Amino acid sequence: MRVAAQLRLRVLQAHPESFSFSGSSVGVLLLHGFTGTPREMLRVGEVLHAQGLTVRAPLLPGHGTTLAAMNRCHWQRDWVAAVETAYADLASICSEVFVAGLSMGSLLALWLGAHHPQISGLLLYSPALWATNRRLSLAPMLQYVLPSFPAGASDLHDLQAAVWGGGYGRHPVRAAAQLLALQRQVRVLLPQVHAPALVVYSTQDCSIRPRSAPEALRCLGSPDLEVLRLEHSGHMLTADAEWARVAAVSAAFITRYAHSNS
Amino acid sequence: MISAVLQNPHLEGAPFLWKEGSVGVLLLHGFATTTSEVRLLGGYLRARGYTVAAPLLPGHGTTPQEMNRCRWQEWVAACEDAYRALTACCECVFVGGESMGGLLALYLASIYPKVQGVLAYAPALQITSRTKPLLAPLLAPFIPMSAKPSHAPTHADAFWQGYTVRPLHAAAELFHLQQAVRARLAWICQPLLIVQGGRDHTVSSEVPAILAAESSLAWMEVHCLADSGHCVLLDAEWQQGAELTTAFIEKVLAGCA
Repeated sequence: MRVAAQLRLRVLQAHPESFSFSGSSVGVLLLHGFTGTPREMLRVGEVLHAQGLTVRAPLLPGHGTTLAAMNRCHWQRDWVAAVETAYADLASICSEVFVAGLSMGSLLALWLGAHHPQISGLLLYSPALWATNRRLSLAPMLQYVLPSFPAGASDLHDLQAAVWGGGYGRHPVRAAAQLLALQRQVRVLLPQVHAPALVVYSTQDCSIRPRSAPEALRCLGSPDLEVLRLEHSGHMLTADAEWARVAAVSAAFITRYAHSNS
Repeated sequence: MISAVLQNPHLEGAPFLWKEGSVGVLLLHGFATTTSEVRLLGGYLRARGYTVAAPLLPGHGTTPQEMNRCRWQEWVAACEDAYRALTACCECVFVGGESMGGLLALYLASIYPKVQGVLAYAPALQITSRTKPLLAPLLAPFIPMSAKPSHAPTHADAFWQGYTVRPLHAAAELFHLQQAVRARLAWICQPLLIVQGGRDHTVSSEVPAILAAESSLAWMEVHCLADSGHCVLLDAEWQQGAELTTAFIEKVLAGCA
């Protein structure tokens, strides 16, 4: 059983490395999701780089390693600290920065947006303000008795897109409790986000509750919002069937709100 | 006689159809006002080669008593007539409106899938007051006309033409229309532009969230003009709203939205 799980882990995590493309003075930070890897963001990242943008996609602490390592992570000390560092690095070489995130990555993007008003724009893919997985909400209690639980079936529409996903196949419970803590923090921060925001979500997403995206629209303090609603993608919409549309809309959003263009 | 019930009676409030290019824009005015509300935007669009039409809705621009005799279906019918007239001389048509006009534009989009896009300026899908929708139908038989609450002067005051009192029977119809549109939201799949005023105390700021949750739209843009009140098309930043409108229309026509 454990051998099988580890074998699956090895197959799924062929290339979990972070990636970085150099380009213009407009930078985009790409943040992957819970138990994911930067590879989820690679297809979009390549399109953005083709538009001439500087792209950075860091690997978040505890991801792309082992369930045990992920279970040792703290939302603020590890994940927020990592994206703060990555943001500071990118901001030091770029005149302006956009932050994009998938699922938990979008929560971290919102965190950065609330704390760094100079960020030019946020791209929120499948904003995970509320998760559907009921077991996830039990994580704060389960974490004392259970190291992990099954992640649930994939909701991908393009089955080939699975190669872009990472994941352990299971959810680390302690880390899930940290994700819940991050969700709670970010929900309160939404009105403090004033950067233009692009929200992309799918009606077929099985991981976040349907009210997540509308709720984000209701609470965000941003004066300029763009919303793309997909119908043929699962949760990992940066790699699923409609990823090309997501990438095109993202590039158009960045072009529109980059100060250097206006 | 009429000047006693109309604010700014000297303004032009008649319906218009300005034929220019093959892209048409239908502009619907709001509750108790006239086409003066959409005239600035209409002129801006006309100057950029768009064919622009704006009907004067039944009961508007006459007397509040007459407006009190109107049903919301009559307003929808007038919008449909104007929409059909515009489709006759244009290849593609966008429908837009301010406040109740935005609501009517959403209604048209839900019954005409050929509508290219919806331009909703402070769409009155839900108003901030919870009690008014409940009280209007109850009070209307006894108080057909209610005084409008005083508000801080805005840039829009000089350009807004409409009744100086609020016809309550008609207000109750507006709330019926809200419910009718709410029930039809799932049929709306066109790209949608929402422009709201940061100082709008009339329309609920939850409208974009309601549309995201209940309609079938694929693309929506929401812009908030910080220093504008409810009448975003007449307030100090109306030109910014007009620029956002042309940018949105061009984006939709280019297939990017």
